[in-house]
Amino acid sequence: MNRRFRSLGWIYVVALLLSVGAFVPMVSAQSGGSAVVLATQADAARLDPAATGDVPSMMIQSVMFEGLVGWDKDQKLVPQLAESWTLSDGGKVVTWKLRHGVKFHDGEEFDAQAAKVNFDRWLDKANGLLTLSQFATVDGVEVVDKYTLKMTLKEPNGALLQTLAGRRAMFNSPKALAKWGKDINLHPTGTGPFEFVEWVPKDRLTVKRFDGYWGTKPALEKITFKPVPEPASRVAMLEAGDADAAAPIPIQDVGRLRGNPKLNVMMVDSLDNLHFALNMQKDVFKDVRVRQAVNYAVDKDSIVKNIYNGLAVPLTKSPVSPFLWGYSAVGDFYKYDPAKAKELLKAAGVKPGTKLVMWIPDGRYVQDRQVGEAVAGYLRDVGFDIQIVKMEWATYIGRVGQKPDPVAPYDLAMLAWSVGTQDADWGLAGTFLSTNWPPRAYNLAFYKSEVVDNALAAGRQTTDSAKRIEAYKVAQKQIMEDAPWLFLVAPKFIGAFKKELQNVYVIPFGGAVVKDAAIKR
Amino acid sequence: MGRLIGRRLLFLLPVLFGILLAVFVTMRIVPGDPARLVAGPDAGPEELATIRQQFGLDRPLHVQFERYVLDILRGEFGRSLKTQRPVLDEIVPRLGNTALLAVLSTLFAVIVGLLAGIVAAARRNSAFDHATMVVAMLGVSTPSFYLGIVLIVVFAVMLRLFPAGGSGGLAHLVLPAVTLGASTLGIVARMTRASMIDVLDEDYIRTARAKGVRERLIVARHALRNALLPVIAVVALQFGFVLAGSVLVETVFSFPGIGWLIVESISMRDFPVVQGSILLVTFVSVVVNLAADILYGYADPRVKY
Repeated sequence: MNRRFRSLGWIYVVALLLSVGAFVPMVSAQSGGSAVVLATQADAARLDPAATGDVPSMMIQSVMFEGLVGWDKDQKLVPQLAESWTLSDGGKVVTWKLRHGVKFHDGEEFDAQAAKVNFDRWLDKANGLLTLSQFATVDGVEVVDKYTLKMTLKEPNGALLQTLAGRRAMFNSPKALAKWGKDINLHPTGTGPFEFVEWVPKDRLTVKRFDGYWGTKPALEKITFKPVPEPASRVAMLEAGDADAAAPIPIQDVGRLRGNPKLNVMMVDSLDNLHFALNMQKDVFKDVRVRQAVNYAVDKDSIVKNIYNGLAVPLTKSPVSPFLWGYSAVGDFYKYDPAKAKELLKAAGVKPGTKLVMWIPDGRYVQDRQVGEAVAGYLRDVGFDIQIVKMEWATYIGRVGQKPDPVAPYDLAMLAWSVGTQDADWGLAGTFLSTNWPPRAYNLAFYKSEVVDNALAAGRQTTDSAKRIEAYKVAQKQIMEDAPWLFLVAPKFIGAFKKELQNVYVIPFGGAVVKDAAIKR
Repeated sequence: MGRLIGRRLLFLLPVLFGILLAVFVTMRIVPGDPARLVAGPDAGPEELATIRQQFGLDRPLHVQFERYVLDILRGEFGRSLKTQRPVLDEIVPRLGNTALLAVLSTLFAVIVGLLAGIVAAARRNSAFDHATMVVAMLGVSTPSFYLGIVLIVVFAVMLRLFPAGGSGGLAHLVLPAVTLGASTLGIVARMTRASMIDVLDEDYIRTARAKGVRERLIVARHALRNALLPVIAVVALQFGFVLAGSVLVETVFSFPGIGWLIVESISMRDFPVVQGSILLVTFVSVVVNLAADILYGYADPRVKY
């Protein structure tokens, strides 16, 4: 009987080949010529900058849109569609001289009137755009002549330029705004070096070179952004040659990718300042000695070395990342000293076995769970009883953002505060200003310091950079001393690129920039 | 048969309504504020309030539900809170992608599984039989997440035969379809083998052999048809698992399907997309099961509806 079935066995083999091989591997090089595929961690959520709240969308938009000012490769503020500006009336009036010869992707000219249409849209309450509170100090704008725009402020705003460069105040063509109305989100029409081609959600977003671009014409013809949420798959796509660039790259893959002769790995200190807010509504953290003890109890250098493979910087000199404008190293704080921690806890009358509830947004930040577990271990070593509560991000941000009833339920809550303005104003105020307790913003420690409040107000109200830096220095020093947070680390942001891609880089805000890239094959 | 289809379709309405209510309520019970997730960290309370108002989330729950049901009856599924695109524009292309993936993976599993099972049964206790059963066991027990990564590393990174992920052509479907079909393949192979062995021992097969009917004909015509019955039932049931399994497979292969869309929409609390997707997936599952029942009737004339 067996022999008779030998032919069936053959059919089996043929069918196997058919069912797999029918699709004959026709892997087309998706990239090639001067087109580039960039694998990102998420798809765009929105294509209207003024309505956008997430980093992946902002990174995609940045190739299509421009604002009055922007950032260069070294994260310096540079003029974009403004050529120059002057301040008058004690910093309450800003007169913008606009660039000539700038065209939107639909052929419309960018001028003062186009800028005004955009500002009016951003500031109109009825539109509910995210520019509203960012530009709360802007009273309005007027057209002086075709290339001159006058902006009136309710009060001087030291962070105005950074806020304008903060990735939301980017211009859409007035004609497109009128044509598409609320659907402008699906029809991005900016002045940037690349123009929109198509968006197939969860699959790809493609842009092509804009031939009418006013600045240096891009070398690339086309960029395709491909969302690949699973980090291992993102890396595999790059290694397989299906993508030309990928970011972010998981820490554990960096060593292997560095050994790949076809790839370049690049990294930069990110703006993310990972920390645990210590809830000062709770009795245990009302005493500054306890908050300091918690900081002494945790070995940040070991966390950097063992959890981040060295790819992070410990936050021992300031609560914020060195890339935030206004950063100052204000000392060297809280070197690992468990004995001192125990001493402080004893002096503060904290009994061994005191229970603390620690909240972690599982999977939101690089190595967040590992860091949480390490911190819990260190705190147990000095006598605390730690209960870890993990939540997915949507639940987490909903719960920590709630109005406390009457006090927030956590003792420690993990967060990393990274702001698109890259400026100390919102970079510090969002988490330390006493008027920014939840639900207003993310002062999750319920911290209130007159020194900090005054310093942040002073920094905001002057347009003198030196004075601003001085004011933020005062605030950072006070915050480090008061320890409303368990200060942890700023992880590096890592990207990897094919070697032939020139002029590409990663930025602290979290993204790979390929718009200036050239291919050298 | 017509009555069966009519009755089943009528039954579909309360099922869909029940699912809709359950998803609607669940999504609103779990903590998480879509406005905050969409707006990001620097939105102020005024902006959040405006966004909630735009989404209609400031209205009482029963009003929101009533509006939603009435909209659906008009064929209007709303707009995604995240992308602001019409929900059907988000769902339909992705449901099509997943359906294609599910059908291909099921085809792969059934063709290969059936043949492997038949040959294994006919060559019982041979090396081929043992090897097939070990592979089938591996297929059933290997997590698709792991299998997917292994296939990517071997076939995309090392051999460069297939793309590592994304969509764009049949080549993009091979690795995901194999990953997704692996467990069904294992089950089908084992079921077919067991069922064939039972049937091949039946009296009517012995009679056929005694009559001198050729062995190939016995297996292909007499045994297989009877052995297929449990397999059809299993494949239909498995189809639901295939749809569920697509969640992981689509994530690993960045394949733009409905599974990935649902997971992401849940994590963004994008209510209209979650509701619409689950409604459509439920509809498809019920219809596929109905089709399997009809098919079963054809394969087994004893089954009457």
